[in-house]
Amino acid sequence: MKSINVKSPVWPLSILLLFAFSIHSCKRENLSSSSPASAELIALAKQFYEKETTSFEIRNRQILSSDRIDAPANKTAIELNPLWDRASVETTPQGKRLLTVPIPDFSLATKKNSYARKVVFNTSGERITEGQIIEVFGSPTDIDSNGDDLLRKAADGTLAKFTGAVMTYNLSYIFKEGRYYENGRPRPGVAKIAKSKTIAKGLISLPGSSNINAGKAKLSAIAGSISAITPEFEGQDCENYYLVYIERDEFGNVVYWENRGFLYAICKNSNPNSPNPGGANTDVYVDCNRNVNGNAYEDECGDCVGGNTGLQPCPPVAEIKLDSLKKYFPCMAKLIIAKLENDTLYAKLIQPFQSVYTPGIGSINFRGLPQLTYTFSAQAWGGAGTNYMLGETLYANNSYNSTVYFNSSAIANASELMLQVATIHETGHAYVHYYIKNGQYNIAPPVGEGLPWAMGIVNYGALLDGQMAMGNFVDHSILLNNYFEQMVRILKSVNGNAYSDNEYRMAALYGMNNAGSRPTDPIWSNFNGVDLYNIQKNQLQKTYNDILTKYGISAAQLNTFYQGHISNTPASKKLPLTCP
Amino acid sequence: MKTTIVIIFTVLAICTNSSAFAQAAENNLYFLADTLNVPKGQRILGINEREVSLYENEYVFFCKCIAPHKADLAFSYINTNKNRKENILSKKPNYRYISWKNLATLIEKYQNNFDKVYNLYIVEVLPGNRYKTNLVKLVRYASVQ
Repeated sequence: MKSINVKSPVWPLSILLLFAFSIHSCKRENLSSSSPASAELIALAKQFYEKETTSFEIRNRQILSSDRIDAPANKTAIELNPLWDRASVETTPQGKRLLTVPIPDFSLATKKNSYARKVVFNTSGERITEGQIIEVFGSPTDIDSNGDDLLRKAADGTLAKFTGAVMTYNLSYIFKEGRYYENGRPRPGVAKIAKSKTIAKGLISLPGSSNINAGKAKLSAIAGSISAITPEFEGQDCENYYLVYIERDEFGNVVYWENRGFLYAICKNSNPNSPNPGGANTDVYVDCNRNVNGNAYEDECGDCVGGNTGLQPCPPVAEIKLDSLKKYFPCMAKLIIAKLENDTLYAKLIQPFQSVYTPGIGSINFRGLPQLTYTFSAQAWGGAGTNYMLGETLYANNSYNSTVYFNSSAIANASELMLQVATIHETGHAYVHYYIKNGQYNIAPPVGEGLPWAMGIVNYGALLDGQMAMGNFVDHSILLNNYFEQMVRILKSVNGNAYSDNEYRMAALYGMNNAGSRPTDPIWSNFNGVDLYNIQKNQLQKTYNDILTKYGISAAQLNTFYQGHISNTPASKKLPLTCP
Repeated sequence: MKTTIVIIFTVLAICTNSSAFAQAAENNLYFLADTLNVPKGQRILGINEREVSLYENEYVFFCKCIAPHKADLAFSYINTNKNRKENILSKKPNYRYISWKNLATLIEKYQNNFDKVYNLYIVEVLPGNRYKTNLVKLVRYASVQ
């Protein structure tokens, strides 16, 4: 058997070579071929960069990259300014050839985290194929000694033994991806930069999350006020930024949340020439109860309610929106609308638009609450067609809301009685629309409001479609059949004995026989040989005529009445010009 | 009673009409709604910016290009899922997206019959490279006097 002669002079040399080789092997992973970039390649990269960023006006954008589009105007604009003269060509451990350009340093206001960032272009030969901004966040030890190498590895997506976050952005500094690594293994969620934010008004709605109840964070709260961290900012208007790790479920709801540490604060009076700190995100909030992603919000009374506060919001102020009507036609608002609102029957008509209660819905974020807006516009008033419009109402099939446009000529020329009629009539349109839309969702319309005829047996969705095509017919039919007497009672209640019962009836009948123009869809003109439009028009006219017959009102009486209240109204019956 | 019959008749007509159109609706259109990467002043549409019904999500194109030409063109979908959950993807769906120019042309042509002819799917870009796709319906307006 052969033995090894350890005394042989060859052994020390072999051990030395082995040691040198092992050092070389260990270092090879960290080795990078880095060399100055050629002027031509830099020019190409600049060209690529300009092309990608010009449309986003990156050089003039807001301080916070990802929310710059909607950022308040008082945010300070800061330039990104890549340091082109320090551009270099680097090769990643996996052999990618990159052109990297440093971005001016922004010192974090913490010693627990540090970060490195560069603009990184992929190259193919002497071409630029892709560009992005990469940021690596980690311990100061890792970043300060090894930042450039980590950036190269981040470009490969392999960060052995690294603990920290890697963020990538497009060249406009818009967030693309954020991964959090623990000992080189990426966690399933996303890493982001988030600012703490106290919600001032309304419920928070997490961007990217359709569930307002989401956000059950495992940490109870972000670190305290700015002054607790950076005393020099005390009293200033500042926002804190944090490195966060977020996991979401398949629906985008935040299911797990970690604060990985404070990074920096941005104050309103920050030096506008200081380097841009980089990516930001507003995915994570602190609500007014200081709960992360909580649902507490400031109510109408300014109290922090909802969420984990255990407090209920104060009742909202009941109000029909008067838009600009109050400003331009104060007498219409004061002498017509406000006067009607004091009437019990009329109050029922506007009740859906005043109460927070919507059957089956509640008051979540106040979204979906029916809204009624009174405003005005210029509409037909006399002329060749002798068409005198008192007003019109606009609504959509995906909303409970309605907007009533009073005819500005009618406000100036019609009698107060007819303006009351216009208000009740148009509000009636809004009410009927609310009623049908409610029914479409199989939500029982309010009981005791006079369930409109046939509504219990028809399909509300189809009825809504019909309302969109033949709104005048549908609404006027419902109003004539179910609310005509109430309309007369409202007018009588508001005006007392100023007019006779039949005068109130004639006023209330104005425009009620208008079935609207023929819909463009041919189905209404020829449904299996039947002219549906004509049937409906005739039916509405018959209902209208039946009322005239019932109360012995002649066409001549109607004509005379409307002349005295619409086309030739005496000044004594019109609204006053000034309305203190 | 006669009025009731007329209404029922109308409803039947509408239902029949809708189904007739639905049978012919073979064209699927996909529109990419991206408000995240477009500056606010340059966007052609807004998402859920108006007050609509609780169950509805709405995409409003800033164009009064549909009758009665008094409000913006809008599409919406109803989401009655528990907690209004959505099907969200982490990758941009690989569709052939229609341009706004071509979509506007079709709207101009078909007006309120648009979604009886086409199925429009809106792919909404969400933060964090996420996307949700929904079949939307044209929002129809009525102006009544």
